Amino acid sequence: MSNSLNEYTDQELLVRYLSKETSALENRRVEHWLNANDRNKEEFNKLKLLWEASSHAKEASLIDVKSDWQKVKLRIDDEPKVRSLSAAKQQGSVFTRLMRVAAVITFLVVAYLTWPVLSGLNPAEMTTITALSDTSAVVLADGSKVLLNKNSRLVYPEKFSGNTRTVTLEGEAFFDVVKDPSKPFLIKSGRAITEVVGTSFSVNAGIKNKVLVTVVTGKVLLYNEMNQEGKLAIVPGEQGQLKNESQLLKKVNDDLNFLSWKTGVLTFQNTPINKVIKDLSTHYDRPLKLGSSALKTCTLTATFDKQPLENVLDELQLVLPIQILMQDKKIILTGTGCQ
Amino acid sequence: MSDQSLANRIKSGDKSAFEELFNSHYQMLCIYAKKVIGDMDQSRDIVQNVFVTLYNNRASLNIKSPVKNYLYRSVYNACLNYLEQVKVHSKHHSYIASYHSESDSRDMIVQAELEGEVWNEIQKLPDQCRIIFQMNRFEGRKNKEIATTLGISIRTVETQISKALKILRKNLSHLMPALLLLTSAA
Repeated sequence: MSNSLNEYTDQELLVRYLSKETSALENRRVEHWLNANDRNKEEFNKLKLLWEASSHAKEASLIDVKSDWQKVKLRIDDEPKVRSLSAAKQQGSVFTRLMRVAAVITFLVVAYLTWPVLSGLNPAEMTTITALSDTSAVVLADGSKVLLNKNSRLVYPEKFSGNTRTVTLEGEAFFDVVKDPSKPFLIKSGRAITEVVGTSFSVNAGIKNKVLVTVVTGKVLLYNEMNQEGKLAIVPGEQGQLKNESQLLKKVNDDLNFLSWKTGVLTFQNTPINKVIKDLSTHYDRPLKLGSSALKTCTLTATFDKQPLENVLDELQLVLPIQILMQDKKIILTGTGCQ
Repeated sequence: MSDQSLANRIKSGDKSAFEELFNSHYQMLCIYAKKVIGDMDQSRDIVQNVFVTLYNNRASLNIKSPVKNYLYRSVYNACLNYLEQVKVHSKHHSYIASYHSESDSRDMIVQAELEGEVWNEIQKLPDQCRIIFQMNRFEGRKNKEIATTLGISIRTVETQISKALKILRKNLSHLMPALLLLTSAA
């Protein structure tokens, strides 16, 4: 048996040793190696130093710089008070149950609106909740529940007074609205207003100059604040749009993944690869690109249930004639295309 | 961009300069405050207050002395203030307050900055490498557990961790002797 550790194996053995997961025999091997010469000892001491220093750095992971900056920013902007996200998050379990709620309405809302959109509302009575790196849940004064997607913001009153229940949304959110026909529930996003009489639905804002309302079940009205005559009624399976603050139109919803941010499930049925990488990019928040236009001939049929992206990419390589390249943070799909 | 030219821009109400200052010091100030008062959530509140105060008082900001010194001093004072307030409720906290001397405080600043540096370097590791390394070092998970969770072999976990150590050793070489301050402090 050789006493010297093989160049290719000793690094893993040292990791095991540092992790205190070595067997008695392995311990003896490491100690033997350490005592062999001073260079080995010095090498090990450096690793041990990094090993311990790294666990001290753990503290930093408890600090969410981005979200804390938002809190400071709102305070120096003298904007409405911010509710702590951690408090709101504790209500998250409510939303797992919402999955089974029959009436689900979803719509996507534009981000062109300038923040804050508080016209006619008394800012002092408003609360702002901002979800940055994670989804966030909140229960409104009337018992209606909202799940905010990341990078989204909701402004709502502490109490609903007046003839309507009005909130303002920037980003994407899922709503479960308590029925109250005498007090319609309104979501304002720029000039777009989505009106709900009482049901649950999901809202997504993020497409420039466009409001998208996709209905699963239930019924909502979409209209322009400035033109309340032309209200577009949207029912299950349909998607309403308000483009450039003026054009109202309706089409069949063919996006299987518009709720994936909430469910964690991505579904593809004979889906063109372009749409696949678009959905994956959005869902995992990582840039995916086609390395060659020949790949546009490929389609995918698959379902990914809360799988890590690495996993999904492995599966893609199995079912499609493609290779995955990583360039910095960018993920590039290459290949000669499908027949 | 140096802190001093940032201070100049902040003085004239430039919020992007203020954001830059926040981003470059916030984390380390929080780590430092946590060392003084022993509670991270409170520390974050304290440091946020210091930044808000700094912005509100930006007109009187002295651009000749380093902003960083001002920040650490303000956080330290705010921490002592906090400890005074809770002293009534807890003997433990008053113990911490009297235990920390000026020189302890200086050591804690150095430690906070080192921890921040190490954390920054860990964040720059390749994704898989970083996730595995953090699961071991931050969450204290066994390598076998990590392998099961991620659906990979134990061997891969060990290889990725050794890769992480190799990269960190290279990128933190300039801090190597200083890191002893962290491990001896515990």
